[in-house]
Amino acid sequence: METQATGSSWRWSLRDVIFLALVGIAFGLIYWLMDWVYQLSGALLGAVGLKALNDEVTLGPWMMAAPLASLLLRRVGAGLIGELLAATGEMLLGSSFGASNLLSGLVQGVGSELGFALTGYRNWQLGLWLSTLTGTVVTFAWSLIVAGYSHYQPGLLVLLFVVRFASIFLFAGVLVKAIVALLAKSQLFKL
Amino acid sequence: MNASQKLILVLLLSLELAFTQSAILNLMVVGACLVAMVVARVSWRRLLFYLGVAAIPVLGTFLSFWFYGSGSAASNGHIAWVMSTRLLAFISLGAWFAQTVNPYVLMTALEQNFKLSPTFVYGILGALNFLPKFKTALKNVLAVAQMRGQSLHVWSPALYAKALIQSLAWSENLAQAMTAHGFQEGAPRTHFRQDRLPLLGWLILALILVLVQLAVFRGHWW
Repeated sequence: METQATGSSWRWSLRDVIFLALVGIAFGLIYWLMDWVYQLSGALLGAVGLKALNDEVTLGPWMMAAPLASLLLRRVGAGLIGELLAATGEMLLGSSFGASNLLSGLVQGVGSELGFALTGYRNWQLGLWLSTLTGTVVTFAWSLIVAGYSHYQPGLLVLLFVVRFASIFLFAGVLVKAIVALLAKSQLFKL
Repeated sequence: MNASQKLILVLLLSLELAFTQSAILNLMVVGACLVAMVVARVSWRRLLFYLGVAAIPVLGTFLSFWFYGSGSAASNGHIAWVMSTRLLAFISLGAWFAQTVNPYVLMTALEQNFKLSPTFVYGILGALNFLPKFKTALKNVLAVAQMRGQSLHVWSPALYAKALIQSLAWSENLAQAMTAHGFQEGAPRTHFRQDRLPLLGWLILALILVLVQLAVFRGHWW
């Protein structure tokens, strides 16, 4: 049982697709649960006047599916498709973000995928760390244009960016790396 | 409209709403989605569920921009209105899509309309059946860890690793089962149920988009 099929990083076997879909579905469920965590932490942070920080603190867990799919499947586009599937699953389960899940899934998937693409899909370890950075930059640009962040004060924006990067680095970087290391030890995956 | 056309409409509308600052347009979309869902006989309990899902984030967004905006009180009030109604519009669009399209119909439509690879279509549809099994598997993983005196949390790598090993086993089994039942990767397929893109669907889609553009550009005078 190895996920990495022989051949190029473009060809998808049926087993790879099903595995990717299962990763997507599992994270769709996790993302949907995160919605409730987000609402709760939003209420708590709101009570102490830090509601704006909520999006940033909680973003990391929502960005985990993409780098995990990329690292486990080592295919071009695995991260983007995995993140899109998870976002779609989250929406279909009834999320408090509704249809905008599809847009965020796309933006977050592209952001993460970009990190791996920068290494030419050769160095997956470096790709993971790059993906946390590209993921932060791309999603933050999206927030600036679309989520009304340009209406916040500049000092607050710097704080928001730093906190967002920390969250993505911890969950979509460090935690993903720890998961992959555990799986590598199991020898079930060729990593 | 068929499922592909609905998906295109939801994507285009979400994108347009994301770049438009009009509370009136947002509320029009909310109203249209509500009417469409009532016409499609979506149960009141489902609608109430979505209202419950929407209540806190919409209020939270409103208050956040109201209190922390960088502009004058008037412009903060405006942006708070736009952002909170936009969120409501997103939730309504998502609800309408989720309640009127099921995954099977959507995937077969994408296969026939946009030549999405059957490996992806049937792989994903097959994998969807594991959703209830995931919930059981999660409980098992937690219980087994408890028996060994370990508590697994959302931040424990072991929790994810175990779920992924389970997924790997399932994907292997399902792929073998599908192959055993005659699924051939890359083989040409015929379809018992034909799902074409209806002309009427395109017309409705175009009409909605034209109305939205009118609302966006007339909106300056409202």
